[in-house]
Amino acid sequence: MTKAPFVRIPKPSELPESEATEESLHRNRREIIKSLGLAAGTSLLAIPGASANAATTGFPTKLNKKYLPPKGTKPTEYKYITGYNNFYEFTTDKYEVRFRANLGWKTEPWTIEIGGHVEKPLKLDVNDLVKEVGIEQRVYRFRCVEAWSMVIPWDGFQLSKLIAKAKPTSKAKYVMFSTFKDEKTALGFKNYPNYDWPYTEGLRMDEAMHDLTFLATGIYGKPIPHQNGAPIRLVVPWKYGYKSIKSIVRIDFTDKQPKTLWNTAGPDEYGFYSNVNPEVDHPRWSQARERAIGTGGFVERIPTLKFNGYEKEVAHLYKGMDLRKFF
Amino acid sequence: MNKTARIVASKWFALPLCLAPLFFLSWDYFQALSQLKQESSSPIQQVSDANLTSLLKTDPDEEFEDFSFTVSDEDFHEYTGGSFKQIEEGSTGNENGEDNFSFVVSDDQFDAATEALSLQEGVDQEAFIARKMTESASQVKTGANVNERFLHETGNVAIAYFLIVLCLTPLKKIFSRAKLVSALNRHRRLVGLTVFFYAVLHLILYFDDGLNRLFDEWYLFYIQCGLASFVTLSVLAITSNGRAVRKLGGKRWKKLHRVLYLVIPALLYHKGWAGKASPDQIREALIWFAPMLLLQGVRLTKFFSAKKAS
Repeated sequence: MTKAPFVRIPKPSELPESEATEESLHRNRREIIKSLGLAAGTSLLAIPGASANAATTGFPTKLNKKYLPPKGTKPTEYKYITGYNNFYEFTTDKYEVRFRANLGWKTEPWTIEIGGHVEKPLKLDVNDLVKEVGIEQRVYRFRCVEAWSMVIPWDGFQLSKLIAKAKPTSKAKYVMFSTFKDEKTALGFKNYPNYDWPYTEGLRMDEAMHDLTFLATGIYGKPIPHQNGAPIRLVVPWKYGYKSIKSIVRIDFTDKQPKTLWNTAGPDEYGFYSNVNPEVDHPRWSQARERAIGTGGFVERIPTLKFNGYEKEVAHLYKGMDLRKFF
Repeated sequence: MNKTARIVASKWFALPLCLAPLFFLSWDYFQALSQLKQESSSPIQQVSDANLTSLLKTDPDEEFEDFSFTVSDEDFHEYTGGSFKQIEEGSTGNENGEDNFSFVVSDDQFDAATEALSLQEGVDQEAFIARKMTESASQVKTGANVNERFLHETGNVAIAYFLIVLCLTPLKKIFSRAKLVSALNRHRRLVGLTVFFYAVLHLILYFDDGLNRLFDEWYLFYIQCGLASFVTLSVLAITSNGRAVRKLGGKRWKKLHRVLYLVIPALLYHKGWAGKASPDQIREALIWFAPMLLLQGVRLTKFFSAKKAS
């Protein structure tokens, strides 16, 4: 994983020939989609009934006015959201994810299986699901455990809508999410064998039912790119980013607290709850401040807020709990 | 051979080699900063980070009034009206008035982020990714979390020169006759000062946020290791001139500068633990230090066997 300490930036004239073929293919794709879009009288990706692309339904979305960027913030630039993030299934290098996730990984069609303590196990096509429940846009703050943050306009729907559809029984106390494990498309399974693949995450039932808990199928009004967890991912804005599992393939309702990948990997570093909390440091770095992505130079890192700024909405879920113990 | 050794012995050979990373790093860094600056002057970025900082600094009760997720229409207009409409040309949603507003990226931005890459057969994936990274450097890599990236890079450069300078003496002891090695050894002071120079840059980036970071993280052992190393290096740097040598006397000066060996374990821990401290990273740190440790080991065994023989 040794990296060159600096990267040479090529001049525009230095583009390799291979770029040319890729570009033409690329243009073609866009032309085709565009002509389709024109025929339908709508814009790109708003094609009604375009089931060929799993997560393209539901666009354009409307912004839900209840979930605007917190005052004084603005959504982070799209290229940073899609060009700088963790996805250990592919690589631990945040700048490389967007390339490695686009090397032929197929995310359509995509089905989610729902099982565990439910009335009847389900198998859902993401596209059909989106058509049924509809999607809206919400802007949430996103705080990574590595002390950087973004403000992201997500498109998707509230998890509680899916839970209502799944009809969990009274035995269900927790929800467990799992993602794919396909060694052919992603090198991480082989390169980082110390992790307990596939990636799993979990929420308590009341957390999962909370209004803020969201399933995203898009970012910035466009389908979610592979590197950000296509075609459907969890977004829990008051918890550290790794709780928001990407590319969900399975949801189980359980009666016991499910094991999660990061909690298994480092129980003293990553708790089950993982609520954003500036008062509880990560053993190896401080959580008191965060770098807003898109700022640099001698600009202050911003103070981290308890529950990532959503204290008013979610603090009641943890009433009476020692947040230092249940970090 | 003599000719090569003479070239290598020249300061005009060593100085550019010591300064090269500085040129690359500063060029890259200032390009990144100017890119960020351009962005913040575009309409979509008009809400400044300073606003956010000042907002978050207000006392908690006030803060939550501002943090409401239900906002007045007036506020809504202030966030979204005008500026966002202009920037997203050809985007959907905006044209139908604010009720249908949503944040939408342009098709070009979307295409750039989701471009499917085809890896031709026989092409190594790592090489392919490395090429792509270089190509896209100006696009993303420069701007996202730029200080954190340069914090790591300046630290790595400083450690690289630190390891080089520690290789020089053992090389001289082991290959005592090689002219090239003697030529290289003339640059020990320069390389040592280079270590200090990049360590200063590394520290400046650590203090990009004033002293906040130090207050937050001083208790962490790898931070303490780094700071202790820096203090040691500054003492050595200050005494790295002829006058200091004369004043201290050769023997005492030499004794003082042996403190450098104590910095080895401190920096090994510092590098292995900084950031993610994954097994990969600890392995990487060990790989970096291995050649130097090997040379020092050979030197020591040579030293002791010579002592025995006498």
